[in-house]
Amino acid sequence: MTTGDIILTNKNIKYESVFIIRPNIDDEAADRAVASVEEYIKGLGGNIIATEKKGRRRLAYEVKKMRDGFFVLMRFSIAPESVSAVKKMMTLSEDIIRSIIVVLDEAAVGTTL
Amino acid sequence: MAYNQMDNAGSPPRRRKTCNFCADKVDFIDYKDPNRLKKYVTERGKILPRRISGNCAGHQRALTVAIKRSREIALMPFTADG
Ligand SMILES: [Zn+2]
Repeated sequence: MTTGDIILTNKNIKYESVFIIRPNIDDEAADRAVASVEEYIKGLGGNIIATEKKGRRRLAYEVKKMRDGFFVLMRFSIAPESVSAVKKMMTLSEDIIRSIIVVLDEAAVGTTL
Repeated sequence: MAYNQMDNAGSPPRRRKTCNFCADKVDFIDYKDPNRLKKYVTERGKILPRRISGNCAGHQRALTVAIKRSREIALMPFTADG
């Protein structure tokens, strides 16, 4: 189909992600990590709906020998076929120690961390 | 229900268990709210069965998904202590 690109951009759906940034980096580096996720999503044709930095929190269990981390809540829209790339980018990031991406439930729009 | 009217002399009085989420008319259970979810796990972090929590099937299913997501993002423990 020649209209493939148009269909692709219209097919964006909304997702919600929570990811945890390692606590042993400074605020600037943490901000850069958040910005790099946003840029990566935009680079794949996605849009950032909202980003909330929720600050340092204690983890329920140790992750990569760390007991706490900076939590970030991000909502974005992207084509479903690009989500696995976003997840992979988060997993491979040195600064992101944990991440989850779920389809954004409309009932979850007002919720926060 | 019939069993509430049954004579259960000798056994402890049975409290009618009803779904807390139905009672509160909850239509979305948030994985980002561990304070709400932790009422439905044991001290070791295991998910309480429906027969204990009294949740309806639909809400128990949604609750289970929420708790598992919450564990994935380290808001809740998988076991007693990681
Ligand atoms: Zn219910």
